[in-house]
Amino acid sequence: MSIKLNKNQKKTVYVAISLITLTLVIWILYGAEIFTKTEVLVEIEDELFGTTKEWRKEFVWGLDLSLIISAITVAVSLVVMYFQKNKRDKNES
Amino acid sequence: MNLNFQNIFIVFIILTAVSFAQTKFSCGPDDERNQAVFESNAPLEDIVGVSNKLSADVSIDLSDISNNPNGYVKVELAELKTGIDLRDRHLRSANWLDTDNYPFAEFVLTGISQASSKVLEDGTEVTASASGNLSIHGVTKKITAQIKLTFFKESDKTKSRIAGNLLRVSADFNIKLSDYNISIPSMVAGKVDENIKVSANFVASDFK
Repeated sequence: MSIKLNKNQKKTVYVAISLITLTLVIWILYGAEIFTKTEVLVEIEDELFGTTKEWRKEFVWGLDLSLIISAITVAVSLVVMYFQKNKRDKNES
Repeated sequence: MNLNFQNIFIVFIILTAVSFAQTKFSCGPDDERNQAVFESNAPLEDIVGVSNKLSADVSIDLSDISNNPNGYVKVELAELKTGIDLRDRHLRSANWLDTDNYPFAEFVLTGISQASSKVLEDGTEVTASASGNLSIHGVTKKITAQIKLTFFKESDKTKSRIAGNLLRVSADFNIKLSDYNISIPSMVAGKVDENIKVSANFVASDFK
């Protein structure tokens, strides 16, 4: 069973794949953390207090965010492709 | 009667001598450079919780640290920060630490042993084992912590940071959540480890 896609539908698929790939690339560039973080733990060296830890405000893109964006992308793409299919059908008839 | 008075006098002299040998170091929760760190390394996630509200009172004999040391360390668990606000709220809830009912983790020092040196000299780190009772979530258990003690005699350098002679304490130990009646909810299984690494780091002063 093969699915025939028209030009517009193919474009939508390419855009969706590009977006999903982009979210995965961003995730890897942020250090491939599983969960998205808004604060990161940093170690501070102090002559008197020794090594202490402190939370600092910093955004870290996690796999959860990539998966949410990918799922939304797939859902929106399917809806868009559905409407593009209707246009094709109308054009064909 | 005379003998009784003599005995009481001798005990009084001994107690006075012991109490004079002890130096009391204190720090309060306002100095946020002091901290306790709780670390969970689970298969799905590593979680680090930091509380910067730590107060301590430690009485120690600088010429023999194993000589009847005593003190306590108190950490405000409601101030535990894990980097995610929602997770912090869950941690404080009745299902976990229940900080409304048990706001503090408290350690009462009862003894110091296996010290690398009995004497605390200026700027020299001494490692030892500290035993005592740890109370979390309404449960008290005897634990032993690996500690590092460093004494700093008051100098221009230390005075600019904190007044008085200083004692830096670093302690590390492990606890089991189930020992303290803290159960891991099934929805976070794999994200929280049953064994938690705990470390405390503080600088206390003898300044009155």
